[in-house]
Amino acid sequence: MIDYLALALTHALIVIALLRILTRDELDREDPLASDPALTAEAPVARAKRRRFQRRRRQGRDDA
Amino acid sequence: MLDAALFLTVMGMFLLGLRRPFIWVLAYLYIDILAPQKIGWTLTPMLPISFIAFLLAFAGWAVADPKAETRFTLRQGILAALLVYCFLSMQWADFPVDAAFKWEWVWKALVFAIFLPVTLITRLRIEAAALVLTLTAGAIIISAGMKTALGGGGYGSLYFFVNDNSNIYESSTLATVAIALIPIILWFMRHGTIFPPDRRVRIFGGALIFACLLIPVGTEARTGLVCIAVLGLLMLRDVKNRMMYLLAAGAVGVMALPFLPASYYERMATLGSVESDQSASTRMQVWSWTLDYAAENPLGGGFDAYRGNEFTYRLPVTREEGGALVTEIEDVTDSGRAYHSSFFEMLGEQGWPGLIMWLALHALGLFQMERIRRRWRDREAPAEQWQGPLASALQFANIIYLVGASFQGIAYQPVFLMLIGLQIALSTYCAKHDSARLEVERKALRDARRAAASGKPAMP
Repeated sequence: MIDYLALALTHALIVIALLRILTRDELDREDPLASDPALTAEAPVARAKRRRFQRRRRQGRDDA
Repeated sequence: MLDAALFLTVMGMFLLGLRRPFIWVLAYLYIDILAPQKIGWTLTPMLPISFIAFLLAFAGWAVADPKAETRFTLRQGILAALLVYCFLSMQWADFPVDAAFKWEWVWKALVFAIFLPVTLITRLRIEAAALVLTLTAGAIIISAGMKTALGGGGYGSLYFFVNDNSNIYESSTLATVAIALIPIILWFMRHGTIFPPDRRVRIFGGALIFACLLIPVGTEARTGLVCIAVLGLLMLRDVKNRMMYLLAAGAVGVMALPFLPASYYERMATLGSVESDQSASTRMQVWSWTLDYAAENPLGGGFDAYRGNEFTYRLPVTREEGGALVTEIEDVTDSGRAYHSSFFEMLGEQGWPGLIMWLALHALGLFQMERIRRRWRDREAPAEQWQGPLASALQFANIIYLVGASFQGIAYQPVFLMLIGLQIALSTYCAKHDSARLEVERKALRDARRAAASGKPAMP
């Protein structure tokens, strides 16, 4: 049971990770001088925040 | 069910690789660490998935990756020289059949360590490789950690997915890997981009570190305890508030004591009593035998040369006689004892040339990581924050490995060779980044000089 749980958890994370990197262009090439925050840790968080913000705005509009 | 799930995961990785061939490199990392073909029973052992992934990883790189900037570094050269030397030493091996058996996996691990850095050309690839390595080893660690927490465990009695002592499915090796991964997990909790650091990542990371710390308890591997102590000391360097760290570490240590099983205390107590412990006595004997052997065979005796050793020594043996414990000094004869230390493993098998190459490989790694850590420490650009801490994490992992390797024959352990591949990749990445920056600065200076010479203001 524990074995199944440990394998399921880590495999789910590996699959999510693979699907995430599959769509990112920086996987295969990257500008060595890029100091653009798009390449840094904040980027995906910022993207997620923006999406959440847009979703909320849309919901707000629908409610109104 | 499990067999089918593992098989589908592997096949899924192979399919995803058709779109992004780099995923085949990750697939090889995954298969080599977890060995799903040994966990499954029908589907996964059906195909030679490890070999397929090995070939696909190379083919993917050959077909799809840009090669213009491929660099071959000194450390890859050392690995290649070691590979060639290992092959040569097989020709004069004392035990050719056993040597050929070990060579079968050693060459693959070495070739992959040489190849891995060539594929890790972007930050995302370095991170993805480290992540797959951590999560795959994490599967074994989480399962073993949970079994320990629920009361299982004991030296040689903690059950893993695979119980043949191969690769990292060996108690002491797993303990060393688990502790060496802790600094890397900490890095992911601060600098990851595939799973950007948020509450969930911190909770999972924290739980995984806890599981890692449980491995030396569950396996009762004494090496693991030494590794934890060394990691504790190393982390003093990077923590912001040392006093708080010391207090917290002390408090956690004291709180953990009542939860440790009695058998753990008994086994750890033998750390200090070398004389009456056969495992430790054997070690001393094997090491001194290896030194003598290397004096006679400076070029080494090929893989598994230890099989030729035999020694008798006097050891206090305690046994029960009529309800009383009687301790007598007896002659104990041992033969074919393994090296129990990677340093002596290299010396005995590959002689002084092999040992020097192996030491140079690790010393250079520690030095390079230190250089990156110092150079990138004060940089402020957002894209330049992850390199220094990763160098520091890989350096710590390397030190933990060397500590663990002092007491186990894990000189060619594939997981650590992969970590060496990551170090080389990071070092090449940073060098490329720096030289590109230098080039731009030079160009800007040249343009400014030209503009000044022609008396016109420089173009913005």
